[in-house]
Parts: sequence; C-alpha cells; structure tokens
Amino acid sequence: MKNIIKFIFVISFIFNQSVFAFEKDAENFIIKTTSDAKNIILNKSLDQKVKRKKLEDLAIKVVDTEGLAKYTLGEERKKITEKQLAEYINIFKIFFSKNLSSKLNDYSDQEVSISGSKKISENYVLVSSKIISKKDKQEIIVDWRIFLVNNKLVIRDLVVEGLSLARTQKEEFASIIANKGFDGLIQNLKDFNSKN
Amino acid sequence: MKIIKTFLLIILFSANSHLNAATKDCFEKVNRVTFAFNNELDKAIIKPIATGYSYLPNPVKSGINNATSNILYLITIPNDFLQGSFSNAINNTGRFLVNSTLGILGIFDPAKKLGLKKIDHEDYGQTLGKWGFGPGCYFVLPLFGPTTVRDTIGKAGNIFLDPFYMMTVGNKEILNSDFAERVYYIEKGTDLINYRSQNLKNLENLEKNSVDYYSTIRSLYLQRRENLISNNISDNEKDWKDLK
Repeated sequence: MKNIIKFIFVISFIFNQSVFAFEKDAENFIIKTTSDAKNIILNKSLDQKVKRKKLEDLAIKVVDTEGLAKYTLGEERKKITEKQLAEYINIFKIFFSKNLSSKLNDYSDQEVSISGSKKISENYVLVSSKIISKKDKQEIIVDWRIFLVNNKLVIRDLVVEGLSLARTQKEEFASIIANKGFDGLIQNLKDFNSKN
Repeated sequence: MKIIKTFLLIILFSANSHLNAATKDCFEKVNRVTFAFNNELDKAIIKPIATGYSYLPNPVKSGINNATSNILYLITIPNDFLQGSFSNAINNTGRFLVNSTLGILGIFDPAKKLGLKKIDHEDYGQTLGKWGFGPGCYFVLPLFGPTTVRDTIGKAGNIFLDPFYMMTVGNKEILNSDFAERVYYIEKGTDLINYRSQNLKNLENLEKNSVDYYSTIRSLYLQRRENLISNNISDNEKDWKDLK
C-alpha cells in the first residue's frame, strides 16, 4: 500500500513539475525574446536600417507567422487553393515582419515584467506581463499566446490591454476580403510591403 | 410617439442578438465617409491640441487625468448599482467623496492610500450589455466616432442622466449661470484632449501599420466594448485550434 502511495506521489510530482516546466519555459521564452528585442533597439552602433532588419529576423524566428497567417485568413482559407494559400503565407510573412519591426522600433524606454502564466491546453500557455514605461511610469498589461509547435515555443498573439492584435488583423483582413475579395487582400498586402 | 416605438424596436432587436455574435457594420459605405471626416477633423484640430498638451509636465497631466476621471464616477456609481456590483459602488462612492474633498476636486488621489482601489469606469452602454442587450449595428457618428446602437442609447444616458450635466447644462435653476455650462463643456473637452494625448503614438502607429485603418479601429472598438462589458478578455480560444 505504502509503495502504491509513493508511486502515485512520485508520478503526480513529475506530472506537476512537467506542467510547471512548460509554463516556466514559456515565461523564460518571453523574457529572452523581449530582452533580445531591447538589445537591438538600444544598440547605438546599429543604424536604423540594420536595426529594422534584425528586428524583422527576430520576429520571424519567435513568431509562428505561418499559424498566424492562417488564423488571420479565417474561414477564407477553406475556400482558396493550396497555391493561393502558399502565396498568401509568403506575402503575410513579409507584411508581418515589416509591421512588427516598425512598431517595436518606436518603443525604447520600457521594461517588461512577467506577472504569471496559465496553461490553456497541452500546447498552449498564456503568459501575462506588464510593460512599464520608465518615462511616465505608465503600465500596460500584455498577454502573450505561446504555443508549442514542432517542439519549439512560438508566439501567436499579443493581447494588449485586452485587445488581441491577431483578432484585429483577422477582422481587418475579413473586411478587405468582403469588399475586394481575396485578390484585393493580396494586392493590398503587396502594396503595403513595397511602401514599407 | 413613433420615435419611442422605433427606439423600443431597436432595443428589442439588439436584445435578441448575442453579446459575442459578430456585430454588423450596417452602413459601411456611409461609415467610411464619416470616419474619414472625423479623421481629418482630428488631424486638423484635436491632434495638434493634444500634441501641445502632451508637453505639459507629468504631474499637471496626472492631476488633470485624475480630476476628469473623478467626475466620471457620477456616471460609474449609478451603473455599478444597476449592474448589481455593490462592492464596486461602495468603493467608487468612497473614492469620489475622498478625492473630491481631500483630493481637491479629484486632482489628487488620497483614496488610493486609504485602500480604495481604482476600478474601471462603467457607463449606461455597459449596463445595457450586462443586462443582455446585444450591440446591434455598428456605425460611426460625426464627431463622436465609433459606436453601436446599444452604445448610442448608452451615450444618451451618459449625457442626460449625468448629475454633472444636470447641474451645469440640464437644469440652470440649480447653479443658474452660463459659467456652469461652460465648465461642463471645458471639462468634456479637456477629457477628450487628455485621452487623445495618451494615445498619440498608438494611433499614429496604428494608422501607419494598417492595411485598412477603418476596419482596425472598428475591431479595436468592438473588442474594447466586449471586454468592458464582460470585465474580461472575451476572445474565442477555439479559433486557435485547427490551424492546419
């Protein structure tokens, strides 16, 4: 009997540790990612062009751009061909990296502090953080949707003060598709990419 | 009488739609024109004033922010009661009384030191949402910006049922002076400029990085209202599954 209790205890301990490890890994992943981004932004030896390129590379590395591309297309992805989807994903990746690096480049004096994390499913953790501006001490609550994809942690969404960036993008694209069709969306994204 | 009937029909229509159901943009073409007009107006008048305002010292901006936020408790407190959030109503009444007196018209926040915490403001649109009324159509009002049928009804409540409005503009017998009316409009104008100055960089970035700025603002507005009504992040987690 004692052995059975011991066994259950050990198993549940290992299980709890692994659950905790997933959340901890996700938190550490965010700490490292934000620190890497900050190091690029604050590096005075880099000119703006190089900084943007490095931020774009970082974004591509840590964000599941393919998953995000599919999410932002919503139901439309079931109506298009494999070839169209592949073209869209490629254009979206460029759009996303340019978009994110441009946003990040404007922020420089902020500190990120992790306030906790919650496991939503086997491969999905929601990490909560506060971004504090050194200048005016303003705090912004940011939640990160972290997924384990092919044994690699990746970001799929940022929820800033309750506003999901991925959902906003999805609804923006849905509106373009409703007015101009899928081809109109592709054209708009190409135009954006060539301008930025 | 006809107007009342139409209003009741709109409310009944709104009540039947579910809170999280996609909100229809019923007059999108007109809305886009109104949105563009508001945007130009913002760039010509509000944004330059807000930019100038943003150069004020932080303690001044913080004092103005506290004071305008304090006046909003006159709308928040009755809505806390209407939503059945009695502990929030007591907390916010305490904050309003302490900050209006010891905090000199709300400029300072001594209530925080007394343990009365800051809670998100509530309004009549949120109360209608809490009572189960759906948003109805989304549309853009000239000058007032994005809204829904429910929030427009709520906005009317936020103005005409606001004790601050009643004392200054609505019933001049109480203060009996044009000065009081001016105080109301100056306060509302300051609140707008203060809010705009806090979002200078955010809105600039949003416009720069949007493929369709109108849809981005619509999405953010609707998400924000959903979150305020549910007091939570109301996102559909199941959308994240099955991305293959």
